[in-house]
Amino acid sequence: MAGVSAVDPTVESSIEGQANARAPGTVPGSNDDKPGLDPLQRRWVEPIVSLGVLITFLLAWTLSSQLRLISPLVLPPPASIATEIMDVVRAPWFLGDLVATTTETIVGYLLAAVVAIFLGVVLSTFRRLRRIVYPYVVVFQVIPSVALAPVLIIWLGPGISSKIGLAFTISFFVVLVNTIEGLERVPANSLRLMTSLAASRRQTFLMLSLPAALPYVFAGLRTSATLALIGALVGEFITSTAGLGRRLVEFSFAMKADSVWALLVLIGALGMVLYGIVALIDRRVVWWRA
Amino acid sequence: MVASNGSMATQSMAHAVKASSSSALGAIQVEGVGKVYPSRRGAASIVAVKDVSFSVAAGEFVSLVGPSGCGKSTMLMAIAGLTQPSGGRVVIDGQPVTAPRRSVGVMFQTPELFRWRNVLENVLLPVDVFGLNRAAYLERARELLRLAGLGAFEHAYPQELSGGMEQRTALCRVLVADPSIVLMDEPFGALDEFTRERLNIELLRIWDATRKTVVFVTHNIGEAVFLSDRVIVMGTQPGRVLEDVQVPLPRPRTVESMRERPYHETLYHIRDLLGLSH
Repeated sequence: MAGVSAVDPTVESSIEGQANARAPGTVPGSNDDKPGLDPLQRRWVEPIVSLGVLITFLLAWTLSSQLRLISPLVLPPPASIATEIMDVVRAPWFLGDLVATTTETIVGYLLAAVVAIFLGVVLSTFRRLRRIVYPYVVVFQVIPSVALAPVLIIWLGPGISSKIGLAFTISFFVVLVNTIEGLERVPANSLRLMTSLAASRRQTFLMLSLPAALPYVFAGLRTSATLALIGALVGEFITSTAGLGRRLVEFSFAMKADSVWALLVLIGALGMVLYGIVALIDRRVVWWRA
Repeated sequence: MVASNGSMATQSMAHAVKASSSSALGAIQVEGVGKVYPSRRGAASIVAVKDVSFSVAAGEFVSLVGPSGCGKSTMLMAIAGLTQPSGGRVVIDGQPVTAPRRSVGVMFQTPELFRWRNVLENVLLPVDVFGLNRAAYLERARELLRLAGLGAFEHAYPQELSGGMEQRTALCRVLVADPSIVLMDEPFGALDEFTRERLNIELLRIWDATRKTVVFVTHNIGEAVFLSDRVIVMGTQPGRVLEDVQVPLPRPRTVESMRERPYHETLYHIRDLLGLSH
């Protein structure tokens, strides 16, 4: 976390340095005298090439479907997946299933976040307790939480609660471990600084430890945002009354390749939206991260 | 660069800062302090410091100099109340030190600025911890920043500062709540030689304006001689005081002081004490 920028130590020259650094960027269109691209051009070129790769890929995919190199059952052409996506979105069941999966994910995730952060703070505050409990936390983290799905279904039934439970279990330990890790890594000298100011434990926690740990906590929260969705979906795969995961299994059993792929794309989009929201909050809360 | 407007600021600061400080306070007595670190698994326990005694008068600038392992940092932490001596005691203004106190500020080798606080907010950290009114200390914080040449950077964040600017911010932070004693643990040790020298000059200027008791730990003999009224030279195995050396350099000191004869004589005397050949 060494974020000390190598700015010139003198006050004035650092300002000059910034002005000078900006100068080369203001001379565009001089690409014939230098073999490499200047940074301004590179910023435009890379996304364009990136987009080109995607288009090429989709074209090759379409072409190989047209030439019957790939069976549409194995991999339907992009165009039919696209039309199927529109159909799925318009289908009467879609909104209900989307809401079910999203609810399971978000409720499980938020519960996990609250409980894990709270427990992380408690365990970090009481060192002895942490030393007693932490080995089990690590062991639990190593066990694939997905394997708990059948147990949770026995405990919580085939409805929404068992999926919330699974989304919870799968995202819980990541946040817990990251919270403890973040609170452990508060710089020792910063803690000594607070001690030298005769700060209370509460002050040290609020003014130093909590903000210092936040980047780690949010790293955990971002990872577990995608994990929570996996938990909800896996729960739905096994037994459920509603949800995109259940629908996906149904389509798969019915050999509806178009619909399976359309749902996959939509689930992917849902995952990206959920992750995006957390990433956005992260950037707002932990804005000082390098 | 800061010198021209800096000296003006110094004059205006002189009464503003001095008026608020109680100049009689800040006397330190170190009485036979020893520190033993208990043995780990059969190894002999380590005597870090043995029977160290010295005193620092209020408003005096004293350096502790010695090779690593001489216990100079341990001594500083004992004065700060951050470590308890195994024997002897430290007395500040007649009271034995048992815990950190507000009247004693500590500056570490690393600036330890908080990345989520801007320069001004970092300087105000002690004010927040002490539960004092921020508004009442705002002007003082700004004056200190001006004095340290950081007037234009109060809204900058630590990640935008150079190492030297970070330590200047830390210096303002340690001074903001007006402690009577400032303890500095190799504060410029991680900086390059040029920055270190400039910060030494600025430190003296700020010290002139505020007249705190300063105990300054360093392994740089030249720095210690240039800054201090007295240099306490320490040796190792066990950590102990070799000699309490007076620095006969007049104040105020400038870069030119380092060309003067007493500077070099003191410097070489300390080198001899520490067994360094020249």
